[in-house]
Amino acid sequence: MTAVAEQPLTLQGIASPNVVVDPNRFYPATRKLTYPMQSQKAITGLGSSDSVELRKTGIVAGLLVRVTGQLQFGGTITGTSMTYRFPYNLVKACRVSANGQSNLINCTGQQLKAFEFAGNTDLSDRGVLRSVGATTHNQGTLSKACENWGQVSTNIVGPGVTVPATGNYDVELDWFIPLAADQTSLIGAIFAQTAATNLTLEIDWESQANLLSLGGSATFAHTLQWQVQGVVYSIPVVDGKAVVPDLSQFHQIAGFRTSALAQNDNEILLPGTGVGRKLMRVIGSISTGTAPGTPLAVTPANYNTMAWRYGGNDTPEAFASGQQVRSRNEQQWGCDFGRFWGLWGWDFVSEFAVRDIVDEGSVSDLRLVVGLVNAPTTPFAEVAQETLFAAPVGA
Amino acid sequence: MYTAASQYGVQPQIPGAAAGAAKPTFGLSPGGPDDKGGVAGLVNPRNPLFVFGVLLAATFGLIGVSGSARFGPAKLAADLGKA
Repeated sequence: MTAVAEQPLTLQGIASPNVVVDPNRFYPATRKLTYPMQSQKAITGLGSSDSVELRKTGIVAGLLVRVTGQLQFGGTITGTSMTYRFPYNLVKACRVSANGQSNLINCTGQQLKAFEFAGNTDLSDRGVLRSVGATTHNQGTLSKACENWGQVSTNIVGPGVTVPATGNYDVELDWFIPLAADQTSLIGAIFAQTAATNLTLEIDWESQANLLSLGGSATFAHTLQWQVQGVVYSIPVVDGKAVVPDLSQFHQIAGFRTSALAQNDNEILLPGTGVGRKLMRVIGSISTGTAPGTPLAVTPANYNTMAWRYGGNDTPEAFASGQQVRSRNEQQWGCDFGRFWGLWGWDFVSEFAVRDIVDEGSVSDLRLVVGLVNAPTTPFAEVAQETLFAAPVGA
Repeated sequence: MYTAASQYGVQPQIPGAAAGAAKPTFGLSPGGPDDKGGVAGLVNPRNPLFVFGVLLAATFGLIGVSGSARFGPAKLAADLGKA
């Protein structure tokens, strides 16, 4: 009898000997691990980038990024205000590369927040008091109660808020980077157990000029620090074999920006669509006015026709008013995204993914129809797609 | 249990396929375990091209097909092409 060597399984492009794909055995035997992948350290600086190579162990389902520190205003504060890039677009761009796939995640901090709420409807911003513009609101802010947008004594700051006084404002912000499309099944999670694995997180910090407008005699400094925590699942050994769940798919959130917008219907073509990809969600917003811009609230006064379209003129879903999209989004996500942040989106997985998910192989020229009631001033749209696509060999 | 196919309707992956490798949008062949490729597939009687080829050849006299059956005194015969 001739012994035949067992062909090693290749997971996400990584040869993985002695590993079998067996979700039935994996789930009861694995253990959830949450541990630091980068200890707390000062950010390189506003307008700069930080990167970290993440630990190569287990199956990585997500990353928790925390920013903490102080915004320190001095001098004469008159004329100082925060922009609508603050606080969540402090993370100007978040990029994760894994196992040879560059930019599995590549979007803004604001978009990460939106996807976090969309993917986890147990989260709620209702009842969380935050200052937006000239008033305080208790919903639609995308803020968790444990966060702090900037506070010293009774003085608080927020997007569009005039900084009331000098002082050191405490800040506490967090973002969740969903490497897995689903935190229960771990579909889309990253196989990180071998030395051949490459897993890198890079964050671009927004510039000071885009985060705040400083009065002529005011000064600004900060003591912001960041840290990264990994949400990892161990790879259990069952009957002498390491078992893993279905890792046949990569999960991607990829953002893009366009300024080609005008009054009435705009057709925004989604880049990178193709055979083998499934569109889970797409979330966008439009900002207008003086740089860095103010989000256009999703109201009937601002938006008319909202739809998604493909091919010549196939339009599976359409609404006559932005208000209807905002209402639909709140139904699906439990958060009024459109109120301050001007976010709107299409969700193809929250109700029944097998039925609703969009197979990009059968929808050529996939695009969003965004109808603007008024002619926008220096507009730009920021859109992010959440997709699944085939990992290089999986289950 | 959870798989990409059961949860998102994603097609199971073929070992060796590259990331994002093109797959047919619509099925063009009946497939199945007895689906043959190459010359074997070409001369498979289930292949409509093979049936069409036989009819074409018979029509132009390249091949002949004939058959007969006898039921007592009655005889039934038919031929196509140069039998």
